[in-house]
Parts: sequence; structure tokens; C-alpha cells
Amino acid sequence: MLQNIAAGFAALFTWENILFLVMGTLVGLIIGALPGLTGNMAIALMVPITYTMSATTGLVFLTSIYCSSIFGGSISAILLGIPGTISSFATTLDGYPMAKQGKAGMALGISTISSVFGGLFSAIVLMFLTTVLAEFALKFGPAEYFAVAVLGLSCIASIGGKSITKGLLSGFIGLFFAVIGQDPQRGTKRFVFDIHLLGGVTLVAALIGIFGVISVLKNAEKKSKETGPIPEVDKVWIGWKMCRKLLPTWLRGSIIGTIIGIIPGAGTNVATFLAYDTENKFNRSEPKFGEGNPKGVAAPEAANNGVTGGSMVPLLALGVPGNATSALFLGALLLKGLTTGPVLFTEHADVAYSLFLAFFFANVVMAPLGLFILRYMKKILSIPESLLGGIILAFCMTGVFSISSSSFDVLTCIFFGVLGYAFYKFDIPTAPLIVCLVLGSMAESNLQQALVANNQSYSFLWTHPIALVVLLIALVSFFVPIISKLVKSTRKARHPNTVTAGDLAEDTSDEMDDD
Amino acid sequence: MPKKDIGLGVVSVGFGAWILYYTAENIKKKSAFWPNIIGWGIIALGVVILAIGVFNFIKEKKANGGQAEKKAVDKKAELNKYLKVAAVVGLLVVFYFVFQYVSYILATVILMIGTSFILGYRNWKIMIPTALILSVLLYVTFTQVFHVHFPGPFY
Repeated sequence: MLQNIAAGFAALFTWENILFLVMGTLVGLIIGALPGLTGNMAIALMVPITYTMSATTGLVFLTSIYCSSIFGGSISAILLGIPGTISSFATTLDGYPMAKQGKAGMALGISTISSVFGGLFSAIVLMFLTTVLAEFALKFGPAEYFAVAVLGLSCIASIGGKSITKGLLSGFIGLFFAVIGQDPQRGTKRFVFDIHLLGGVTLVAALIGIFGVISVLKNAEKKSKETGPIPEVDKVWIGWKMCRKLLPTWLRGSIIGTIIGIIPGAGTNVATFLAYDTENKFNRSEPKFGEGNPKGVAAPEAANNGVTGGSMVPLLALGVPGNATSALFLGALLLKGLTTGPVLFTEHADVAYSLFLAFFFANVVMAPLGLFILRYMKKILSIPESLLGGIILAFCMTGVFSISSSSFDVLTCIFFGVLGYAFYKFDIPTAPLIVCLVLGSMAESNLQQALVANNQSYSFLWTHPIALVVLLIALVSFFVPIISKLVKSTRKARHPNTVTAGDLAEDTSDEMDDD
Repeated sequence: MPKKDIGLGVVSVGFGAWILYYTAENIKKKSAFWPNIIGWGIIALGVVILAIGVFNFIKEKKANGGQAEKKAVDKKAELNKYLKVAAVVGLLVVFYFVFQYVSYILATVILMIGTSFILGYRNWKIMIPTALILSVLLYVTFTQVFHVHFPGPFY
């Protein structure tokens, strides 16, 4: 392992990578801070650009965008009371009151250090847990991989927002797009319509449509509104005394964020509200939560950056993206011809370890850059969304075309943008569509291979112990959110005024599909 | 909301039925397993959404004394909203043709200015230079740094 870490260091520390680490952090911070623009959108826009870079540089760039955009969301949450990303909803509850009390600098300082702490914690967990899991996954064959794909698919019940039926519908539509192209085993054409669909739907083009184009279409139907006065940002360094006071909060938030991040489909919003709720229960100090308590900023910020590393564990170790962001990373890895799962560690250990280290150093770089850029945030936040819309679309279209110089990919991107907008109008979540689009072909090809290996018998489902256990976990993962939603709705009918962290997380997930 | 669900249910059932029909007509039996599951799944979910929609519609109607709830919606504002979205999609289609058959820079300038205008931005002194500079910058970056060749006969 030490040898691999050394190889990762050697691959990571080049001038080019450091430059892209800093650039990515800046891009993520700015995009994350601008309300209406999400970190996922930033990653989707940048994936085509990474096509021309080396695998390590591309991943370093995307990682730094991911980590800093999650933190960036807290800036507008604190200064404007509008969360830049879904993961900053909980931060608004205490961050904005702090800013209104003239403590904007302190709130931003807390959010910066908390995010860095959570990010570093999850990066360490990512490195150690992923390698252990990936080593275990070396024993996997098609039967086990089919079970793992089913486990990934099972999370659509929990990422489906308020309506389970609509979440499932979104997942099935994703599966439909996944079967377009050639049958992985026999090469039979399916739904290709004599157009350029033989190779299937281009994943990155679809993702850019869903994250990039849709954000502009949503803005088009909104009435442009003026933001209120932005409070002055004073001193942002919070001092060692405050750091010591917040240390237990950061630890709890980071642990919650990292664990929730590892669970496929659990989502950042669940982690932040759970961390906020937990800290509220531990809190004995004044002011109360919701009235500008520093711990109310520290807990969700440590949790949301804790999710970043955690969410990469299932993708890198098993090849299963548990959320939309990891699906975007998978798209970037596939563009580079890399496969996730144990193969990544055996064939491209330097890339895998440089990615772990990138998660670590992206957070290290984020501290000084974040504290520095906060002074200029007032100017950045005053850029009107209406001007940004055109720029985003130009980036989307150019980026999509550049992936493989295919005009058809541009059409695919427009189509998925319009489809995403239709989903939004019908309150259908897009996250299950993305996860199923990615995992559909993995599930099908492994099922077919497992059937061939077992003389067309489905007995492998119960004769392979690992596959059986994973499938049982998938069943639990599928039915637990459904049962919990049923229990919640019954409880809500009995006690309509009780609001839990889970309710808050669910409500916010309807407002923004994902980060 | 119930009307939306009824519409969605009907569209889903229709879409699922089309998948099954297409699969039966065009795909060999051995490769049709997955598409058939998807088709039936979408139909089943469509039926559930439709049933929920109809149930809620009847419930709403009963609660309002036989009249389905009519929300006070400014129809003109609603229409305006959708026209804006349609205009942005239209601009994207225009971009698709102009960048392919005429010029990338021209297509990008049209897309940027058009979208910002539709979204309500009216400061031309900023909008035009921003669109021009960014379009040229994107062109130069993608052609010179990323070695992308745009299909149009002009820049």
C-alpha cells in the first residue's frame, strides 16, 4: 500500500496537476456559491475538457471542483440566505441568522474550516476503506457483479424523492436508455432507429443535458429576482479557541457525512440534516439552533464535505455509483478508458491512489483559497443568473461536441435537457434515471455472463454466497425506504406538526434534485 | 397535481406499450428479456400513477362540492413561462444547425445573446462584448488546446 501511495504522490505532484487542483477549487467555489448553479453541473461541464488531459490531471480537476463546490454552496447560504447547493440547506438555518447579526465573516470562517475537516476525514476513510473493499471484490465474478449492480439499482427507492412510484418510473426510463444500442452478449440492435445509436446513449452528453441544459431551462421560467443586500464580510479566521470548541461537532458531522456518503442513494441532504439534528440534540449552549449558533453551521458543513469521499467508496471499490456525482466521475473514467472496481487498483494503481490523494489535497488547498476568495464573494454573487445562462449553454454545447466531435451528441444533450425539464414539471426525480442509465448495462451484461457460466440457470443467485448476501442487502436497501416512507406518512397523519431531520431532507430534495 | 399525474400515467402506459410493441416487432427473443421487463415495469408504474391521480382527482372534487379545484392561475404568465423555455430550446436547435453548417463563433454568439435576452438580461453593453469575447475564447481554446475541429465552413 505504501508503495501505491508513493506512486500516487509521484503521479499527483506535477505542476500541471497542482495548477488544475487550484483552478478546479476556484471553479467549484464560484459555481457552488452561485445560487441555481450546482456542483454537479460544474463537473458535467468540465468532464469533456478532461478528455484531453491525462487521467490523473482530469480526475484531480474534477475532484477539486466536487469538494469546493460543496463548500461553495455555504457561501450564498450564509450571505444571501439562499443555499448555492442542496447540501447547504441546513447551513442556511444558522449561517444566515449569524450573517444578519453581523457575524458573516465568522460564519464563513466556520463553514470553511468545517468543510476542510469533513473533507480530510472522508478522504482518509476513502483511501483505506476502498482498498480493503476492492481487495475483497477481487473474488467477484459475473454473478457477484450482477448482484452489486442490483444493489446499486436498489437505491433508486431512496433517491426517488417524495414519490416512490415516480422515482421508480424515472429508474425504469433510465434502464430503457441503458438498453439502447447493441445487446452486450449477442450484438442484436435495440432501439437504434437507423441513427447514431448503435453505441448506445453517450453517457456524458446525457449527463450534461440533465445537469447543464436543465438549469438554464429552469431559470428561463423563473421571474428574475433581485438579491437582497449582501452583508459585509469581516474577519474570517475564527481563532484556535473556537476551533477547539467545534472539534467534537466536526468529528460527529464528519463521521455522519462519511457513513451516509458510502451508502448508495442516501444523499448529501440526508447527511447534513442528520448532522444538524444530532448536534442540536447535543447542544447545551446559547444561542439556540436556528438563531445563529456556530455549531449549526459547523455540523452540516463537516457532514456535506464528509459525503464527498464517502460517496466515491462504492464507485471505486465496486464500480457502482451511489449518487449522481459519482455517476459523473464514472463518465469521466470511462472517457479515459478506465474501469472502476478492483481492476482500477490492479491495472492503474497510480491513478487510483492519486485520486485518493487528490481528495485529500483538494481539501487542503480549499482552506487558504476559500478564506482568500471570501473577500471577493460579494462581487461574484452579484453576477446575474440571466447573463450566466447563455455562457452555461455555450459551455455545454461546446463541451459535448468536443468529446468525440459528434454533432449527434449535441442533439442527445439537448434531448436530455428537455427530458430533464419535463421530469421537473412532473415532479419526477432525475437521480434514479442517471443511476439506472449507468448501471443498466452493467446489470444486463453480468447477468448474461453469469447465465452462460451456469448453463442458463438462475441457480447462481442462491449458490454463490457473496451474490446471495449482496442481493439480500439490495432487497433491504430497496424496501427499507419504502417502508420508512409508509411509516412516516402514517405518523404524519397522526402528528401533523412533528418535523424530523428526515422530513427536512426530503423536502429539500424536492427543491433541488441533487447537488 | 392530480391532472398532472393522470397525464403522466397515460403517457407512461403508452410509452411502456410502445416499448413492448417495438420489442416484439424488431428485437430477437433472446435479446428481448430486458426491454420486456422495462416495458411492463413502465406500464405497471403508469397504471399506479394514473390510479393515484384519478383517486386524488375524485377526492379533490368531493372536497370542493363536485367541482374540481381550480387554482387562480395567471394563464398569460404561465404561457409566457413556457414560451421562454421553448425559445431557449429553439435557440439550442438553431445553434445545432448554425454551428454545423455555418460557423461555430456565430452560433455561440447567437446562443449566448439570445439566451441571456430570453432570461431577462438587458444590459447590451455587457452582453455583446461578453458573448463575442467568450465565443472567440472558446473557439481558440477548443481548436488550439484541445484540437477539436468544428464542422462549419467558417470560424
